[in-house]
Amino acid sequence: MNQAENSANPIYRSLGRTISSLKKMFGNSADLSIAKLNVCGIGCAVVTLEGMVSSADLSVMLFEPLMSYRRRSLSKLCTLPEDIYAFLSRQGIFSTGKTEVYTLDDISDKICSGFAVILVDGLAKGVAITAQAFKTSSISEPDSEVNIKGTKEALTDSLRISMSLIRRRIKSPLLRFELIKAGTLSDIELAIVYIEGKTPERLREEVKKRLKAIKLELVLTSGSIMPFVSEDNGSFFSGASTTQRPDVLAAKINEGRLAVLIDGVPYAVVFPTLFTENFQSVDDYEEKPYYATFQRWVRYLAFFIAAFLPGVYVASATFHSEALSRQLLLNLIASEESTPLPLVTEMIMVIIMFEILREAGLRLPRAVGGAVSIVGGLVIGDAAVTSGLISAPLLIIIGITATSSFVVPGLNPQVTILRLLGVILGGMAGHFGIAVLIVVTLVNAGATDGFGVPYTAPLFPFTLRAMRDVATRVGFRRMQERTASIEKLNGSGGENAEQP
Amino acid sequence: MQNSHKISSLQLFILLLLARVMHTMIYYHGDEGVGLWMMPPVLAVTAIEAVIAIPVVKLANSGESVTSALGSRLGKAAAICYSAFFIYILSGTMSYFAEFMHSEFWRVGAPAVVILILCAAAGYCAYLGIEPVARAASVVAVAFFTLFIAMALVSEAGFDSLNFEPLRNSDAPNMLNMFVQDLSSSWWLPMLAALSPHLGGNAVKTAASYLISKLLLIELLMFLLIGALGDFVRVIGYPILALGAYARTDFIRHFDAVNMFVWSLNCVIVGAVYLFIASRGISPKTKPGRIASVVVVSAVAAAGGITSYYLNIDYRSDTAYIIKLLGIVVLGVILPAVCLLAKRFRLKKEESRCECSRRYEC
Repeated sequence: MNQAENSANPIYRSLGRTISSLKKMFGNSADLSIAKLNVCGIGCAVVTLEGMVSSADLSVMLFEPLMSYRRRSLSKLCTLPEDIYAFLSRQGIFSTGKTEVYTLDDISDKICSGFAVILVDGLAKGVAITAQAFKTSSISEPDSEVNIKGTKEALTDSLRISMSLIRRRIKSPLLRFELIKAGTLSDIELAIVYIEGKTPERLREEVKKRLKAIKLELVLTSGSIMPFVSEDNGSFFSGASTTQRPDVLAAKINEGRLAVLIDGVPYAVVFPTLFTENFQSVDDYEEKPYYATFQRWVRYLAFFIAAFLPGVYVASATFHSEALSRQLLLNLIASEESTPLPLVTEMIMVIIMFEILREAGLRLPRAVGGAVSIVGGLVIGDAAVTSGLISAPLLIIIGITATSSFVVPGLNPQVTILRLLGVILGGMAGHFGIAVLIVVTLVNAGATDGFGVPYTAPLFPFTLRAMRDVATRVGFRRMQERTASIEKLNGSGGENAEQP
Repeated sequence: MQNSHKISSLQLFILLLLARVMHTMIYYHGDEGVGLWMMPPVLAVTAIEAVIAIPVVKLANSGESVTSALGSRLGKAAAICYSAFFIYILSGTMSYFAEFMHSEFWRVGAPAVVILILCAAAGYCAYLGIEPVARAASVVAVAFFTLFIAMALVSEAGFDSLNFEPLRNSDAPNMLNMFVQDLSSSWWLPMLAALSPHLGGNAVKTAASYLISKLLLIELLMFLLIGALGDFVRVIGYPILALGAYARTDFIRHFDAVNMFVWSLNCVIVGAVYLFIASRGISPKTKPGRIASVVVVSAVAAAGGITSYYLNIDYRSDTAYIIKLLGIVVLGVILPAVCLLAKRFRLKKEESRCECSRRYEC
């Protein structure tokens, strides 16, 4: 059965009618380009979208062969549309991707993806050839995951280039890319990346099923697929993470994880993810294990300082002053006595001020960013202490907290909210309030699962083997004995772990 | 990669131990005094517990629970009994924790507010399930362990051997009281019975490690209290907190606030376990039903705790001991034993039926 018969928008035998239908479909969009040709008296048209195809490639691949065909066909008495179509679809054009199209929707899909579609008058079908040449950003440094000694390449907006960056690191036929489309308005290409035999089939199938079920009109960010795929609804933490680095991605999928690349997004979404991964960096594996271990512990400490230090300070100074040493207490009293606001209000005010400055620094052009730090850090900070509005110890606490919060960027949203809640609860109920906050956060994190892998593994449930690369940095000699596998972290206490 | 949503025997052991630690910390008051008379009853009670735990351990290992073994009607009735018992226990725990907070850290907030915050937090945790609670409990257990180690390292308390007075005939009533008090604290038995459907490991391991750890921990704590504090405990409220107060460093002057912090962590975890058991007794399987049941039991427990606190209901009175003992014996010993017997009877009946059919075939 002809495929066009099943379609509501078939390609018409009349080229003129097809062209007018296409124009109507695109609403005479300015970038729709239809080049009309005449080959041996038969009308042809090349349909493209401007900026999506390379005219140089198109000229080499299509126009030159057509001209030579025309010269050869002059000897014949007549040429039929079928002959031209046969020439185009078989031997005539040198293109890596050549597919037949039967409907206007097919044409629309193809030209939106950077194909050129050739239509021949008298035939209800066309040929689509790849000639993509849309401009993409070049391979740049991974600016959100900066490192010292690792690769300087980051994933790009172009799905194919990102795929090639991963392929260059895993030169194995077991590395698989499965393409699917998402978005009801615009079919955005997604690539599911995994290593055959390492990623469980059930995980692959489940992710594919959930991606296909997405009913969003557009998929433009990595965040738009995460809620549909990960199982962390209502969770404070996310069961999925993103990375911009192809080397990190390669390492993660080598552990049996699965990644999703989105066309137009320079980040890969990785499923499942663990809490402890936020404290690991590529540079850890460039350094000696003892130093990498030390760095990791510094990051753990920084996380707790960033999340809870302001809350503990407020709670201790307001409710549990008996716990503080006399000298420290006297210093605090002296500095707090000169400020007009209660400690909690003061702390919340400074935290919000810091968040405003951070946000301004992020959104402003880099040239102006320096001015923000000068105004924020020097003018406001210094003036606030000098005028007696804010106490100096409080500003020191905020300074330490802010610096620590930059150490674990992956947990920044959670740390910011925990910090604010810690101050509020610590100011309302002292250490009791902070204890309640911590235990609720712990249970919430414990409830976060990514396809059966607890987010808090291998801390709880405890897995000794995996803990080696959490409490310390495992040496490469040990690593070569056995590759880590995310699947082995499944279950409670390891007892219910599914065997590989 | 499917999560079993079951807890391991180690996780259950931690939950049982934390519940017991919570009880010891807030129920044991200094005005009762200390002495060597405290130690033998704990040993005796542990021995008794080891014997009476046999039915519940066997039932848990057989993969059946009390509610499923008793059938739909009796099972439901049993589930409601478990709910009622654990709401009662939680009300007492909340009331005593509020009392502890009020007497030692009165600035933190009104007792009613403390109870409401605790019940809300524990209710939310219970709603998330026993597995996340068990996971978080392991962190709390580590926090306790670290606290004890830190306190031991920086303690300024002197150990006085003269505090260890030999046992006398006049200590007999105290010993009997301690025996009843400790036996009525054995609600780990109904806890084990109620949590057995969620146990993915070996119940024998859980029970054995719990009994050994509990014995060592309680005896060690008592030994420390007698040696370090002696009769001084009579003038202080909470002896274990007082031990913390003796500890100091250059930076932290008293460990009371740190102690309270860890106790609060534990209180939410233990409360969540009790609420989980209580809500599962009445909850339907749907999500809104689960939410509703957790909200209802949390509200009832909070109301119970607040009422108990303001009406001064004594959970260490003779009546309270009787209620607790009755609950422990019925829900933790008799019901599991009945279920085991019924199961054995059922199996025998099936075996004889099979034998009959085999003879008939021959």
